[in-house]
Amino acid sequence: MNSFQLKQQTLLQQFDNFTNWQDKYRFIMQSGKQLPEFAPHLKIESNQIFGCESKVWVSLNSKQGKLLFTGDSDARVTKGLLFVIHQLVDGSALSDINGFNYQAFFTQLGLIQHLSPTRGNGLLAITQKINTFTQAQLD
Amino acid sequence: MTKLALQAGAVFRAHFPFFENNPDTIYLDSAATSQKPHSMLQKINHFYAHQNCNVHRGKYGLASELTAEYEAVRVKALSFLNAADVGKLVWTKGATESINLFADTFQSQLQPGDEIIVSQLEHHANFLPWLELAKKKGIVVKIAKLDSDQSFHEDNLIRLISSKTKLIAFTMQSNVLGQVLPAKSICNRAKQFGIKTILDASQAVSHQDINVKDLGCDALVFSCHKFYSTTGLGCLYLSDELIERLPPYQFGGEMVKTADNQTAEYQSGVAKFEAGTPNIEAVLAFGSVLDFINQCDWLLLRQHEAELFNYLLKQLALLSPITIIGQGPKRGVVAFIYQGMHSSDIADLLGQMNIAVRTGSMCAQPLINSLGLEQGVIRVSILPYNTYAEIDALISGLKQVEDFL
Repeated sequence: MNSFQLKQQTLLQQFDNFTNWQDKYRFIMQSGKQLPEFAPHLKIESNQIFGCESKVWVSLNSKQGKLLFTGDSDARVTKGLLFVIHQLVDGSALSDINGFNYQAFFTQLGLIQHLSPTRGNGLLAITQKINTFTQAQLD
Repeated sequence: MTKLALQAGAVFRAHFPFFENNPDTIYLDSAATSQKPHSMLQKINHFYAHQNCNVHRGKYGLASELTAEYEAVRVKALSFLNAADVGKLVWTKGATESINLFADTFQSQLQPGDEIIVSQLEHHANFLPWLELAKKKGIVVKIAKLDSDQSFHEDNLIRLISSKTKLIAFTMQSNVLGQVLPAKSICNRAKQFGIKTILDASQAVSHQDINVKDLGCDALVFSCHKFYSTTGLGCLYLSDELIERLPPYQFGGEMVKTADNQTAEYQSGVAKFEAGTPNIEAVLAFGSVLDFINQCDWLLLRQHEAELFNYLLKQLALLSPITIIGQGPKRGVVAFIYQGMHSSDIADLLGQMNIAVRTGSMCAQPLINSLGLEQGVIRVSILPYNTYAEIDALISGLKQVEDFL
């Protein structure tokens, strides 16, 4: 099991402990506070994810074959989702995460059914950006 | 009287099957669309099962009867607006098409440099058509701003009038903040200057009596789906003068009198604005809604709605993280922000609790931007079918928000 698979397993186990939507939402809304600070100068249009109700920024970099992920949002739910993505992909090997089916994974976490369509679209836009970036780095 | 009003509300609610079919949903989003009475659903079913054919064409019995019923709804709707002897009613797809139709045809009355006044409270449907007309025709759109306390004052609009003002297009009630505008007074002032007025009654139609003759407007629009009827149908009232002066809108069947390979002559009256087969089902359904509405005791229902709305405002005011947006008289619609929370977060939480409200900019971005509320607002809207228990559920839901922070 590589480190990316291990991270998936950890998150799945964590979400398995939630017995109702309230626990899940509490975790999501509170965990956003643990996101590493997003540098103000990175809040530029090229880092912005459009199609969300709230403002969302994602900055992607790579170092020694690993993805460096940072993100921010002015909405707590979105920020919490960014935290989950951060836990999953930040520091993971590009080769491990390339082409990953985030939609299926978030469904497994039981997140998709608790998100509004606009949130779901926003999440999809973020993960598409990750997949596009990862592919470009590996090409 | 309160008890009677409450009973009237309960009796009214029983006509709407949505509530029985969705016992766990707290529906506080009627400003987006209202629920539909059972009689309307029966009418649609009856139309397709027993009456279905086209209108204004066939000479057979069914077609003649259907055309007569279809046109009778137009008369009924004009009577509902108290506009029977001052103008005509044009069927459209909704308020948006009504205003676009008006803007498209009214441009024939405009010269470059002419001015149109709107209020800052307009939703996109009564804002963007004028903005586009400004680009296309070189006219100027002036916006009557809100005061610093977020209230609307008639004087802010009247002082924008100049010798070049040709039209005032404004909402009778804000779809976001719920404020009721002094429509009659503005129409009267406009008339003194020879300026035409078009009123957007999209929200007002559900919360106040619409009396075109008393208002003195030249045009008025609303969508039927916000007033207990189907989607896909809108009303555009036009004064007899405008019916005559404005040119046809779209071209095609039904609006043409004669046509050959080179030329065409078009119908006069409302027919020139109604090309193609209309939404017959929706018109008949609207007719049944008007019958239903006419059977209700609106004195009691309006009282129930007002009392319920006051209760909602008082309960919201008790919640310290909440700030109500917009001052002035309101009916059935209120918007607020929750301190430190994006409106979409509140919507997500309430959504999980099966509480239906709207958040964001409610198709009124110029208004939301002017108020500096970039995280949007939460809008709660009621109609007489709502209950005190539903307001309590909303308040309880809002109180729970803190548990998630």
